[in-house]
Amino acid sequence: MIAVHPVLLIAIPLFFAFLLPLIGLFSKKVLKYVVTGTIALNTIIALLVFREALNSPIFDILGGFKPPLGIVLMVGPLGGFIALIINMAGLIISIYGMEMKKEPLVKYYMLSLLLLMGANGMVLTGDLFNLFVFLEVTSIASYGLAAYNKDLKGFEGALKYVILGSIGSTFVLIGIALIYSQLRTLNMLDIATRLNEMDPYVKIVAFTSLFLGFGVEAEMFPLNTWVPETYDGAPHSVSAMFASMSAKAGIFALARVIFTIFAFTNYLWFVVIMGVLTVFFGEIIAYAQRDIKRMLAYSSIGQMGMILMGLGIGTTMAVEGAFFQMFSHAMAKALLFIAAGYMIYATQTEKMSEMKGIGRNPLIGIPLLIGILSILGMPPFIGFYGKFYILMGGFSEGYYAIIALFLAASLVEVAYYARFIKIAFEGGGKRYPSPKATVYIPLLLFAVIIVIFGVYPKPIFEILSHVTTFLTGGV
Amino acid sequence: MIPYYYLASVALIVIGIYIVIAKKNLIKIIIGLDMMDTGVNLLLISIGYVKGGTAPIENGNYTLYVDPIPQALVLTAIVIGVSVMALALSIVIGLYKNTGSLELDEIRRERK
Repeated sequence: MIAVHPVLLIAIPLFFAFLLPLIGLFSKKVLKYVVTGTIALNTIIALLVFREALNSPIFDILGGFKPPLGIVLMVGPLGGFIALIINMAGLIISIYGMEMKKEPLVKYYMLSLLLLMGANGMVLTGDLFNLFVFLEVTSIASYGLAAYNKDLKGFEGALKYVILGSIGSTFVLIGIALIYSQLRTLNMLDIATRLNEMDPYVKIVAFTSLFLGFGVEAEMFPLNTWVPETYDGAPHSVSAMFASMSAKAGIFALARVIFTIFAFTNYLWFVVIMGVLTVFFGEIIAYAQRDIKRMLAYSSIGQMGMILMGLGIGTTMAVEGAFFQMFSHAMAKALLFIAAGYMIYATQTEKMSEMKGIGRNPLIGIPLLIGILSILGMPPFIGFYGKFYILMGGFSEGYYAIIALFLAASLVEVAYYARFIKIAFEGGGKRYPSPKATVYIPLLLFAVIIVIFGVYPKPIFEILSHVTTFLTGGV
Repeated sequence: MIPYYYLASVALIVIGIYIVIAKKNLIKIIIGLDMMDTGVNLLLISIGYVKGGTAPIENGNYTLYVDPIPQALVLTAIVIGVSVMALALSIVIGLYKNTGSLELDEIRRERK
């Protein structure tokens, strides 16, 4: 008997998303509180589901059909963990979203709830086609949000995202079709147990299609050209949502394709090479950027590449590192995007060179510094453990070349963030307006999470000890 | 022998990708996306095809049915495809209102 049904994580945002226009008819002011309240409720449920999933995986059968025919939600400890991260990040970002002034507000709040619902669904579902549907819900909500500013930049980014996103989802569908044609099932665990019945060539094509398809959402190298433009053109809170919610859902879907469905257990050169290329593409172009949001977007690509490398190396340690990196990146990048939103608002420009002394206000400066140091992987913050474990995972298996490349890319990362820190903390700048409560509260909340779990990472490692079962094809 | 409908669906997908990559007109790119969608839908529906099978409705007169699941999947995929197309077209309208052009080259020039 399940105490809390994981399907609530999908149903609640969906219900409230379509209730919002009705509420908006009566009062526009309560909308933001309704949204934050909804996501807070969702976070509590995610916490309960996660606590239950830690004991044993939850299988929630939907619609009354027994699996493998019917749709089932399967929540393992790691799925619950990622769902909790997504909801938590969504909650904190929604506090920042209260500041949103640009009309039509109803649509903004609706789409952000739908984005949350799609990301939750992608993480929780145990059915391959259902995963595709939730991928599309997430993408459609993201397309709408990316064009929300209704200016040239926003539309251009959104169009690029639509084109690449549609190609990606087409590939996902091809992969699903190939798997279904051979096995006549769509349930992930059922596919995994009967994988040997598949023709080896069809299997490779199906894996590649799914890998490329989810790679679009996970910002993998050749398919991530949408990232800088879309992040740049979208409203600031939406960029934070993309980095911490939909990208995380995408990379977790990718991890499930690799480990749960296709049950690869050892070193995957294909994934590692894609990861290395992604890291280098992201970090080196980020170095050349002058606009803060574009730099953060490229840095986000680099971080996703590191996660991909961790998944590809495939030892328990490296995958633990990859999951830790998902957590730390979701927190730190959302923080940096919110800070960037304030900085652009305060200085009226996106150029980093004109942001002199912006960090000298402690309410901005301290969280900004914590976020950047965490992304760089400095020891007392959560970013350290992710990078360290990925490195150790590679090191213990003797992949020294990959380690060297990883460290080189990290050095580039240090170089451009250090440049930004120098400008941000330089004296002699103008006086900037001090941030509002809706800006510094989310910043401080993210910073507190980064510091607490950086100093005391034991609970996270206890959760990540379930990686061993995940790698051997468990939920 | 590979059934011809598989070939047709692969051809549709490849033509769609070619259009998306090669064409500069936004409407044409969206038509390419739509063709890709159609190709995949054809692939899905042909997987469930059984020669001589009837519609999967249980009434006792027939014993041979086509597989109903791919049909359900295709219905979902069509709905999703339509909404993506609608959104893509509305984004193109927005771009047109901002720049007065549908050609990618001219839109890029406008930005600089």
